[in-house]
Amino acid sequence: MGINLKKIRADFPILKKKLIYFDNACMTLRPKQVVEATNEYYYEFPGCAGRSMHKIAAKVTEEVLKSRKIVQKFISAKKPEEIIFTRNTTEAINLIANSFKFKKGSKVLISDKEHNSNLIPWQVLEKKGVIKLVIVNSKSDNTLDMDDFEKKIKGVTLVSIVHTSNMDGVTNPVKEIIKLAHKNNSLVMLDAAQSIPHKEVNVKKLDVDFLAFSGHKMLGPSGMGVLYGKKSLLEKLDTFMVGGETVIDSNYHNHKLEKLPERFEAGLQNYAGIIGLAEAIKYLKKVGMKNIETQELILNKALTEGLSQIEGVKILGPLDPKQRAGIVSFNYKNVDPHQIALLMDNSANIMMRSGAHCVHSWFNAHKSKGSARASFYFYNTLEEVDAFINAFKKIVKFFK
Amino acid sequence: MICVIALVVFGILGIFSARYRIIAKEALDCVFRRVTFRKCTTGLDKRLKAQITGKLMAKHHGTGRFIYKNFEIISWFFLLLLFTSLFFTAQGAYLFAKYGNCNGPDSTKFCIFDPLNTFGGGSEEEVGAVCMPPDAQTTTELSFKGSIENRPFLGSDDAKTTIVEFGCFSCPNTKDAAPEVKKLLDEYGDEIKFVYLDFPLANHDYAREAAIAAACVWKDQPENYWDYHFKLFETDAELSEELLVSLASRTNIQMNTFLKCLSRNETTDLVDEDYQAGIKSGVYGTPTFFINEEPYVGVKTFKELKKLI
Repeated sequence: MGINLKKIRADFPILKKKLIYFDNACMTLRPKQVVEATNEYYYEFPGCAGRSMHKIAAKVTEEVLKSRKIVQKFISAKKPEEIIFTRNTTEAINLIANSFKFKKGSKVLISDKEHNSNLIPWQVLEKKGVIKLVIVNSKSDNTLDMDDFEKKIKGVTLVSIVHTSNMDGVTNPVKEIIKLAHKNNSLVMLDAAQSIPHKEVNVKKLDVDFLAFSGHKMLGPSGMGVLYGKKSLLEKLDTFMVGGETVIDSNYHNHKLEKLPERFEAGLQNYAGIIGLAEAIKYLKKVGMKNIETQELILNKALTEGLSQIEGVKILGPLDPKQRAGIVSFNYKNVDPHQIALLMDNSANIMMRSGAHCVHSWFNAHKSKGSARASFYFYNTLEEVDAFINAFKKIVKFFK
Repeated sequence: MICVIALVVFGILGIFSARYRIIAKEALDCVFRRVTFRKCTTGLDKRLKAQITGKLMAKHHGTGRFIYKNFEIISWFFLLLLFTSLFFTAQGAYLFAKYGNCNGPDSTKFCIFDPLNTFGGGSEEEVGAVCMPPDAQTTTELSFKGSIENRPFLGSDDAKTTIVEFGCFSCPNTKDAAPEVKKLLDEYGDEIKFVYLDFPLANHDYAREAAIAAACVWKDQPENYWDYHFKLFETDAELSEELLVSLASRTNIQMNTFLKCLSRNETTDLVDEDYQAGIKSGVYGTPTFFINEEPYVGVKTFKELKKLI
């Protein structure tokens, strides 16, 4: 069953303005249902969960519980307590980096195309002498070099790898990665910020140990993220941020930690964000993750085809759009990608990203300033892709 | 170069709005980096270039492309234009501060800092606030033709500067000018000679009656004239026969003499003489000043009068 684009677009008030939003890998737009759900919290029951005993607090506690279950089911986790709410993917990864009980010299393996969120936390640990960072290379088409991975996996404690790259849209073969890692007694954490919003991800089937993603890339409110972890593994972690709600009891010199997931959710939580995220998931489920994937592929195919006809355009990653999810990252000759994005914005009201996309390490290694990036979501249309191509063709004439 | 222009433009706009201060700071950083032979890292130059050319491109592709390709040269051109304009603005401001006219002391050209010529610099043809009858014909050919012999004056008879004012006691603009004249007299004393001539406007109630009353004081009791003169201007009440008498009673005027003069209309000729002198001189409204015979129409402030002397 396809999607009713007209009906869907009506849910996004900003799309009534004459703009084309192709910066979804950074942040998606929000449907009014999500905005209304967050507003409802502030208007109807703006209390705190799990603390006070009054009616409003009980309502918040119930809504948070419901939301946790919605997230749990969305990624097919076994138990709701395996879902820990964070501010974003970065915080979720930092939680693992800071609470995982690494033995001195433990190896952490990452790919050479990691977002700074999945690079810097490990670099910090390496500088402290806690871990040793192992980097797996990509092949010339930007797909992961699995031979290199197989070589480097031996003795690795944790594989922390991106599921779908925000830089070029390439999705790593995570099933194979997890299988190989587990065979070598390594745990795996996936940075799923760019995969969860665009395709069905089943943590049970993948058998992944930890997984992190953000709400703002999947119609949810900003400042909301999720860390999934297998219960048995989460229980073994050290504490990360502690304080209110993370303990059952305390005296002047000691405390007793709360059970999962509260022990990792210190302080008063972003209840409106949690409720909004659940509403976003409901919306995505209604549209259908399969439909989302299909729509993005249609758009990617059209843009790839259009850009391929322009001499001087170089698309990052494999040319086959099937391997690049909803992302088309490209360069035009030696033109500064920021100039492309700024001109697209100012001449045609097309919003896109430019620069290193927080993957400075890869661009520096490849002596590149960055790229221009168009990233889709299911509410984008083929007409918008055509408009993008036409606007870009006009800009190209600037540089001739 | 665009960063230099941005620094100046947004620096000025930043005085009025914090929003532009942020851009001005970026521009300053960019300029500083450029003069120290480093790259501009704020991206402001790129943003401005794309914003300008992108918007132009949406209107006319060729123009957008031309400007994009020649952006640096065009920026240089505008930079020179900006500094030239700033130079002339600063020069104008200096001349305005010094001479009251941004074009220089002897210029009669339009000055943008003083569009109404309220500082009196430049042409005497520039007119301040003035009372006029509805059928008055304005003229630029004013030339004093009349006599100031035996007419009310303050200051020294042989002062180098003679100021003749044609005024109307019922005219709000003559009323506004009165305290300014008073300040001038306080400051200059015997260095000037200030003469007041009556030019009662027909469309102003009790203008003629007030002029006749004041002339009565001048004729019979000249030592009390200026006291009565300024009282007529200082009152907030509308002029009436009763008020003319009442104001006189608040001075040292001998009321019997005053009332006798009034009842016999003894000074109508004096007032008419002044009025005719005004008509012959081209006066069409009040107040009109002749400063050493140079005409200045309308209210002049103390500061303006000072500059004109």
